[in-house]
Amino acid sequence: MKSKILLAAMICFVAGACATYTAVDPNKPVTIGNRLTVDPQVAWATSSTGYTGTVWTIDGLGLDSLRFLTGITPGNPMLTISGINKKDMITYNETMLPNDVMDMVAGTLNKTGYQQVRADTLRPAPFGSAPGFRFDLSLTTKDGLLMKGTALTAQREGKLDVILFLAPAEYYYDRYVPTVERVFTSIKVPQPSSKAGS
Amino acid sequence: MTLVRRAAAAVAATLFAYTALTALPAMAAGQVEPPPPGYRPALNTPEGGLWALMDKVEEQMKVSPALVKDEALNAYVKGIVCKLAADQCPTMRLYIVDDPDSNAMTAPNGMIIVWTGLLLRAQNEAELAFVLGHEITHYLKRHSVLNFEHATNAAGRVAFLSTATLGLAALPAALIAIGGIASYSRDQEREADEGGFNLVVANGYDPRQGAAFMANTGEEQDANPNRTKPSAFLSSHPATKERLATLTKRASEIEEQKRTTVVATDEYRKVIGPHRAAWLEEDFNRGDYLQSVAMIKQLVKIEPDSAELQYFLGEAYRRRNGKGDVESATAAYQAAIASMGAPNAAYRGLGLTALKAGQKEAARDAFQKYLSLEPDAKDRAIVEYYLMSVGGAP
Repeated sequence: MKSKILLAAMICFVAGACATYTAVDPNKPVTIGNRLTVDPQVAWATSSTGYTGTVWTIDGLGLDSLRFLTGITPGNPMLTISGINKKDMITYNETMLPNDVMDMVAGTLNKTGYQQVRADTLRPAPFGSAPGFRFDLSLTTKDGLLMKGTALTAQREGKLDVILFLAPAEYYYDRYVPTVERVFTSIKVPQPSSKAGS
Repeated sequence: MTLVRRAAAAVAATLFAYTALTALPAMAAGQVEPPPPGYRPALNTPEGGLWALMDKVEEQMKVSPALVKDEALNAYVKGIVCKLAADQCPTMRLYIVDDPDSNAMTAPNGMIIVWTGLLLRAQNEAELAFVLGHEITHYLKRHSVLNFEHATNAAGRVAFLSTATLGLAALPAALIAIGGIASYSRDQEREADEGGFNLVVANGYDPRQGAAFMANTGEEQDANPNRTKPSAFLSSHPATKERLATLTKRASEIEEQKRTTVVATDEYRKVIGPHRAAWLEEDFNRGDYLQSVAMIKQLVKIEPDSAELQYFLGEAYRRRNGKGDVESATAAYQAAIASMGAPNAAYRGLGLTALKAGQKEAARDAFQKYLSLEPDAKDRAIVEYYLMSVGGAP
């Protein structure tokens, strides 16, 4: 694990980012935010600086990232981007249908610098005991690297949760998506008090 | 600073050391002659150094996955470039980049880059010809080379070259690099407008179409008063109203001479048609639905019977999700369905807006119709979920 954290730290240094990494214990459930708890399944490294929400990675953020953006409130974007005014971001509102949320995620990824962002295969999916929905992504990095992604989202009690996994289409996505699926399956949230996901 | 950028900075520093010792006789006078056809500066000149850097950027451009490879589209746009550039044609290389922003750029070495967002917004060949003529004029007037020469102090030249070498990293950085070099003065932009106008008129295009393109661009920009950054094509240019007034005046002068004019709307639509739906979809990723609605309404105005455009207008309203947008989206989807060749997704859109409006029966009918037309739809599962929420069955 130490070597993976060191590798992540080196990538961070070379990439010019300044995140600090700490290890995630694979054997203990982790409470993320908006009363969301998951089982990590494997030894992730987490970065708590320089990013909105919580970000986990196995081989380094350039190679795989599992981002938890929880408790997004109406009127706010799903994340903040340095140099981009909030007025230029797509913001969440409670009347959004799953299609609208998918469009918001794709548009926000475009704002972060990804290109040719395409989202499809929107489908219902459990978000712990709450109703949620999934969709898949294809996109390209600023450097032309083809990426794939999958997102699990839920609208719970007026707030939006987005869990987003991104990795290079070649090798890394297929390598880690089974782990991500297990993380998704492990989600625990309080019983919904009213309908969600619609 | 990444390793690539460190290397790029080193190249810049080396080039600066070289150029600082080198005289610039060819362009010292300020006003320059167009380069002769097939021109290529000697490598041991400052301009040659600049070209060499741009050549490296161009190598990145050639292998970028963002390049649009459609041969027919590339041949068509390159054909317009060649018509306008005449004997300079072999020097001008065209690259179409898959990017929803409306922009075009020229590099000092004759590389012209056109964004798909601009091709989406141009309404006919004559409008595109004006933009290309504008870009060709930047090359013919050697504006970027002059700017390099006029970066009179050492820091200015290092900054200029550092910007250029950013492009060694990757395509988006390349575009930033060229954007930095192609950051022209307002007088140079006016000169490019005048040159572009003259080129389109000389080639028989309708002289009013440049002004029409500018008017639409300005209107789209004004649609979002909260936008903090202007459209890429307008950001470094003189005020849109000034350009529009100048172009309109010049066009009216030409009109009085009753010249034969070409607009070529049908030819243009035929070539961009296979891409338009994808480009419209990508435009939504900009997340500026106010501008998307304005832009698509402009396209609908000249093509009111297009089911495709009506569908995307509905999509734009649905995404904008402001006051009255559910009703506007519904009307647009219905217009699409009433037209020939409506996308099946128009029924899905109709279902979504009915759902938002609380019209369960209408939502049920629309979703059921969508699934009957698209039984293997990738989003079948979510549509079935919507259907169940309104008490319907697939």
